[in-house]
Amino acid sequence: MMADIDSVRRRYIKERPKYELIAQTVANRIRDGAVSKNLNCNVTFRAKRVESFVKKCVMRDYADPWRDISDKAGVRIIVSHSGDLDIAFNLVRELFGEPVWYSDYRELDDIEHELRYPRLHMQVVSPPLPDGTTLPDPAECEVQIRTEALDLWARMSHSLLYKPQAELPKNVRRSLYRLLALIELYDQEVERAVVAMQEDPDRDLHSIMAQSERLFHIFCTAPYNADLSREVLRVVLSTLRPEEVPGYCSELRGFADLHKVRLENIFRDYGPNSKSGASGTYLLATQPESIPIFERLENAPMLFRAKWIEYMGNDDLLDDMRSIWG
Amino acid sequence: MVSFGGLEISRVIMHSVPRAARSDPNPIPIQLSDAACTLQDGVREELQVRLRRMLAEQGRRIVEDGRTGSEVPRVIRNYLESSDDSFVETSRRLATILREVQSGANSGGLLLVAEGRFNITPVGLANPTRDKSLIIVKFQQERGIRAERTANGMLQTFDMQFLRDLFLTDRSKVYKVGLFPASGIRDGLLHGWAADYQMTGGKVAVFFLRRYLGCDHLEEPEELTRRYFERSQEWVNKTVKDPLKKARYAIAIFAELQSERRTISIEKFASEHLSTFDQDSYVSYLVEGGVPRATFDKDISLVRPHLEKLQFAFANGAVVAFPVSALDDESVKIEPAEGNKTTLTITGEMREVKGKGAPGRKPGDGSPNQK
Repeated sequence: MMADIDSVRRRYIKERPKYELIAQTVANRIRDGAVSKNLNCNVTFRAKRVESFVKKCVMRDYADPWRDISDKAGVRIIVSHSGDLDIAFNLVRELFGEPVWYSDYRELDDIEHELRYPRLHMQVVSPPLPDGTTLPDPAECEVQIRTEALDLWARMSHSLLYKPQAELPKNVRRSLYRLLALIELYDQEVERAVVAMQEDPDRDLHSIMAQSERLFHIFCTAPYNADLSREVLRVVLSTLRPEEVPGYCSELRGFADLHKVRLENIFRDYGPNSKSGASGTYLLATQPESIPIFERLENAPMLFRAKWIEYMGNDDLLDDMRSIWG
Repeated sequence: MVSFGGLEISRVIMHSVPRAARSDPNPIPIQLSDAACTLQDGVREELQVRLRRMLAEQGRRIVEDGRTGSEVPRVIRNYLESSDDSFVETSRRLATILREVQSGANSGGLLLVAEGRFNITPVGLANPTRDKSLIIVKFQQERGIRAERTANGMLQTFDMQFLRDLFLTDRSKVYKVGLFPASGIRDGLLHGWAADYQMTGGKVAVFFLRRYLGCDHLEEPEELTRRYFERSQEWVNKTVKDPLKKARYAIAIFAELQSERRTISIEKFASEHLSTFDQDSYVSYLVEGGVPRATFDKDISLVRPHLEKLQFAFANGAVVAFPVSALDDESVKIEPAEGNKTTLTITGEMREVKGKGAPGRKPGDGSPNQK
């Protein structure tokens, strides 16, 4: 048996770079897909370390260790709360097709009385690798999906429960599993808060406002009139089609990056710390909403002006900003 | 497509060039400055804003025209190509030339010459390249009353003052601008932009553009009108999915060109005929295709043959052409049908039916490929 394990070990050492590439390719696709789904998550990847691979071969009585060890390439998606688990799960399905297999603890029966690791793992087929690298056999990748809270517990359990050097006393093991109840509570409360936030009619306004403030602080720092910001951003929001709203914050980020030099010059000359700003001449240039205003003037000037007049009555303030943007 | 948002001013000089007839033996003398202006707080920024706005709204591309005989292009080229600091001397020469070409009919006023930098990088690219530029502004002074709050002993009141030396006010419309970046010197010719709030037919006043600046519009009205027509039709066919809307927009383009109006403004057309969410897409498509955002003269000589009939081509191969007037007298009706389909109803006296398509040839009857 040891001779078999040694040949598998040597094969794994040889093929490991390809599994590393599979994991990286799968992770990159998930990252790109998450942006389009507006899914806030952290995606990590790895090829299993050789020593872990060998240890698993030795510890488990596999009939065919090469095929039975399915996590040679591994990707982990860590989502903010349990409400996003299904979004991530469906995203992986969309990107890589029906999984080879998956394990979803939520589908299990008769586990109400247990505290166990809530496993949500998928085995997916690798897409073609970049630069025409040939795929190993099997060309698969294990994708684990967890919440942030569960990830905290899982990392602890990995070292204390799952792969212990010395067996822990039974009561200590139970106390560690008991923590899962807290994790479940934590995730459910976070999900409840997220759902409540999503039901807030002004949630899009708040997220655009927060993004505008973050970007504004890249160029200048000054107190601002939040009521005015809200009033102006309502106009900005009214110019977006429903399908444009979820991605608008990243659109703004891209706009600020693309026009970085121009914005730097504008805030130097007309921003809150400029002479014009101090005199109050160009009021909106001293506010965070100046960035979405410039974005709209660049990308939808006629629609923005029409909506502005509809909301504000006249376009005097917008006229100033149009003159600055040129 | 160029953005004027990157226009920055570094220094400014002004000269007084009063009205003077060439035959006048005692004209009011020109007053030339010896040094650049001291720009107090906010002045540079304010000048930038006004020039950016005017050029964005009214700017038309211009090119040096040697037939005008004006010395201005040479003076500007020398300045932009020289590393010497000849700003004051150049501006004095520009003011003197203005005086020399003036007739009694041309209004006098002030000439402002500014040195600046201009980001001429196409929109969409980051990091601008800074391009040495010269800006010429001709304007007349305006009048207004200023009220200033003051205390008269214990009594609060306002002091009022009549000012005769205002310029570039918020409502100011009497000025003309020329912008010349160094990168605009190509093949030995000076290219730039000119804007004039008093433009007639979208044209900068002949006196300022030709006799003084020695330039002409880069593109002729018939060429711009042809481009407007082609790009507008392209946009309708590529972008608009709703068949009724497609027909409505196409008809509006025809009507615009056939109307008595002598100028075309793409923004005005968009706001009058297109739905709010389509306007920006239309304007940016045309501007990217080289149609000016500013108003331009309409000249349909190159597109007239295409305006006789409106043609509808259907996916099943049917092609129907009819004069636009048929829609007015309702002998042709366009109505929505099921799904993405359109019903076109033609009522009238049928005169002729004939086959349509490319005529065939007998083998060996002269096609060069068969020799």
